[in-house]
Amino acid sequence: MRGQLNTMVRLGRFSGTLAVFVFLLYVVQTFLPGPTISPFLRFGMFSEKQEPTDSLQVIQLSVNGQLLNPTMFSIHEWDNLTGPFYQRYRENSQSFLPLQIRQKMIDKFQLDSSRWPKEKFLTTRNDALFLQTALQQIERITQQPVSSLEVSFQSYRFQDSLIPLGQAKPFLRYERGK
Amino acid sequence: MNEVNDMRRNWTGVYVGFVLVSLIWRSITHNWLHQLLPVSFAETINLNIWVMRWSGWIEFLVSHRSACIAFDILFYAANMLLPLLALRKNINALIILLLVLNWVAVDTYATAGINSQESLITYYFVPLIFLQARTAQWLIIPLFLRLLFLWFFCSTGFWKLFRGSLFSIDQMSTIFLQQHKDLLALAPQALMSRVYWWFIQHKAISQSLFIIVSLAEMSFVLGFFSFRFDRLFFWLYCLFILLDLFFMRILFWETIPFAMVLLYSSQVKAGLKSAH
Repeated sequence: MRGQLNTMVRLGRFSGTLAVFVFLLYVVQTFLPGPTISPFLRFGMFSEKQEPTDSLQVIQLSVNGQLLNPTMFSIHEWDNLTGPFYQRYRENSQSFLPLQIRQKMIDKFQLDSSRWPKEKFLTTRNDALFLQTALQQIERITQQPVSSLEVSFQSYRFQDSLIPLGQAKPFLRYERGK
Repeated sequence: MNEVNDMRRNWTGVYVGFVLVSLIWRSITHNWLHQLLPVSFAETINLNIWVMRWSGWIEFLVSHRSACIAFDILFYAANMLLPLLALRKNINALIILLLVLNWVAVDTYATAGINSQESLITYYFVPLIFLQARTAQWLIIPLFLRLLFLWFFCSTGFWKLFRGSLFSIDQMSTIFLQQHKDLLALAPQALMSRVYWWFIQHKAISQSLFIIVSLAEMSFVLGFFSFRFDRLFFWLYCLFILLDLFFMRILFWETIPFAMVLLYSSQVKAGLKSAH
């Protein structure tokens, strides 16, 4: 590798040195804690150790009385349908990582928490706007007007198959005209 | 230096072609930024993205749809027109602006929908090839991109080693469960559900797959010592993208123009010989 780095510097003293410096910075930041600063990324790709899970939360999305499932849509359509609701659901949980990081930074650097309200770390602040654009997105993907929408989250236990645990937890309900 | 000029032209053509394909794909699948915001925000632990939110940039795009549409058009137009213009004349100042635009655009796109910064990494770095310089000096760019790409990919394998996930029998089966829980719960009889269930139930086989892929990722470290394996690495990477799509339902095809630096190694080496 040193040969390749030396070659870059030989080809252009300033630009080559800059390129080497940026590359080494990229390598170093891979190991630093804390948030990434793009374009320096940390590509983990499922490297974080996964512990076997006791339960899973799965979305149940009913549009006009019909429960949707992934086989009805392409990969990105299903992700775009369900992603916003999963995101909003996670933001309400204690384990939402950006809020945990916020609290760590406030504790570590003695920051004024009122200057860093939780809303700054959330993405879906406005309920009405969220619902309006969610409906538009659903109508575009399902190709039908939405007269009713029910979103809930069902817990499942994993034991050779997914076994529902109790009732689904309601999350959002909408009916046109109500 | 003809090889280097040919490489530059070829790579520019590939890049513009990919941008065009991306534009068409996003149009068909309704994945333009203005079609995703504000519903599909993603949870990303990245300082730039947080600064964009705090500055009000995301909120501005959300509240001004026409500005968001203009931003989308600007991103695609710039990434198709400026590379072609750069083949004819020195527009280095505009290319620097393109890099800044792409930096903002990728981070903005990464807040929405199925996008991630990693899947759009091409736009951060590959436009460097549109800069004009003396041929010898220009060769720094593909050398730099090559090192970046090799590190980008081999580090994912090393992370699996350092974090211990390589040695956990439950790793891959748990990943399958988490990644495909919607399909497994809502359509358990679907063909792909049954395929994923098989891998979840056969932990040793799924973990073996994880280990093999991780070793393949780590093998890219050899590229720091030799150009010999570059073509093999490129095709391995394409295989990885296909496996990612099949096993993880993740779309990573927009990284291919970045990986293509590995296909141009012989031209780079020829250029280095001429430069000396």
